[in-house]
Amino acid sequence: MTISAWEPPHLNAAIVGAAITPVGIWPEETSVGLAATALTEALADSGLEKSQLDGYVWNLGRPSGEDYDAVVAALGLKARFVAQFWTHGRFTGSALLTAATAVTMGLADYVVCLGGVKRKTGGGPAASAFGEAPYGDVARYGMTSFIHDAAMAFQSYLAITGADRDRLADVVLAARDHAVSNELAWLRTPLSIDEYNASPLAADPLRLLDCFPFGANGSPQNDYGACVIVARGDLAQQLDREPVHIVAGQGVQASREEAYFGLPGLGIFGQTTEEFAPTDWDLSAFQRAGLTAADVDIFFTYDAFAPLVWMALERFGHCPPGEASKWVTRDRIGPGGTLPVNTNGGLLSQGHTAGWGHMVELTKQLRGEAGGRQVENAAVAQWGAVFGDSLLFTKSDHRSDG
Amino acid sequence: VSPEQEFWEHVAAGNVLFQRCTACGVLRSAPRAACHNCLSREAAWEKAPVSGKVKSFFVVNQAIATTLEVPYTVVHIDFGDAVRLTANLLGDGPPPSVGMPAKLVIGERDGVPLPQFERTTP
Repeated sequence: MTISAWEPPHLNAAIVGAAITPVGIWPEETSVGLAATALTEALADSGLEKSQLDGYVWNLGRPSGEDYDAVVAALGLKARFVAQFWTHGRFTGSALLTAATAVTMGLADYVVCLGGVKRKTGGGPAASAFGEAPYGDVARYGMTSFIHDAAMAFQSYLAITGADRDRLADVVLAARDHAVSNELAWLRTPLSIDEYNASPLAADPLRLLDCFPFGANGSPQNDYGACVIVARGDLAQQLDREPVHIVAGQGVQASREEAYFGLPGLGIFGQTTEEFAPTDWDLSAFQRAGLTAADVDIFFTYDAFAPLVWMALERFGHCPPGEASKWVTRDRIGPGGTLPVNTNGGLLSQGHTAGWGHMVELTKQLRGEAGGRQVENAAVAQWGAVFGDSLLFTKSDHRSDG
Repeated sequence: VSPEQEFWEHVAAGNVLFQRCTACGVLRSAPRAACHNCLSREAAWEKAPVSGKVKSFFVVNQAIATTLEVPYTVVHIDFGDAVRLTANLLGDGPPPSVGMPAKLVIGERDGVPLPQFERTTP
């Protein structure tokens, strides 16, 4: 008996419908109502009937929205496969990857990633001084928000890399440049470098404009509903719409070295990593897809904080480790750039959609339906977050696995 | 009592103590119920190091869900061997910088003692 080397199976999944409501503060709306609107639009986008959906995956249950059972019951869905992740933008990529895995394995035919997010005011800091929350809020010392974790990680990054903090302006300005032409974005007013430089250092070294638009409690304050429908590859081919293939993915990484709002080593609980470089784990989705960073036409990333864009570009090899501050320019990652980043405007300007706004946008881009934001000849898109998760998407005629 | 409760009982008595794993000898700053290195449940408390260096810091100029008066500074201090503690930097002086020495003291907030840091005067 010969034992052959194990090869991971290919994903056989595609996005066949996607929609997001306008992002903003909608006092009259409920999370279920926002979800209903997004679902209706995504079904129309896909050409599917609601009754064809048979799987449900989501990451933003209570307290951001409703848990899976409430959404499924309220909207009359029927699912033979459900999964719900921790309520955090960190798990947006993993939710979509789980949907893709489920249809590949035949656990369901059409998995809907669906929810409405209705932000509530209030909520207070954790009481612990040692951060039972994984990203280590230390409330009694005034480290009360993940904004502070991001500020701490960024300061450490600046010290290790010698990066010029002021270069971060280009990340924020490029995001806004993209958002200006996205009618679904919340912050669409053009932004100047002078306005950026006048933005208060709310948590020095982070300016207010370096952060997603947050409320008084440090949490996202905008509402939205989002829906992404994932189908098995052969079923996707039977629909009229051009499918967007999910060709490979990898999950969020976790260890004592992970910092959650920074690259590994930049957290506050005794991390030892001093110099970051991409690992085999960071590049495994590329490897499985037979693609490299150079093949990516548009890069999408979790950008609740502008430094996370620098760090994610480094994590997936789009620029050399420690060099992102020099590599990134407003032109390079902005509209018409050689590597446009978050063409929806990102969390920084579209508003905090946890990444679902990015997923809807990449679907439009790879279908060639992004209007004034369309990236010419866009064939490969990556979702790659500082948390280590990555998904690779290709347009229909660019399937790499044959 | 949980390790964290025990930590605060020691602080109330005027001592900042860290756990050292009695099985593998690793010192840990955040009090935990098991050793992250060898999983041993056994640990002994010992006096925390006093001198460290600023590994990172930030300055809060806009209060978020806190009654602390802004601006205030949060420092992450490295004692060596990946033993670290996060607290406020007390006292006046120039803004901190990464690598700057600092010393552990017991301060208080609302009448409750807690570990804090001060600049080290040369």
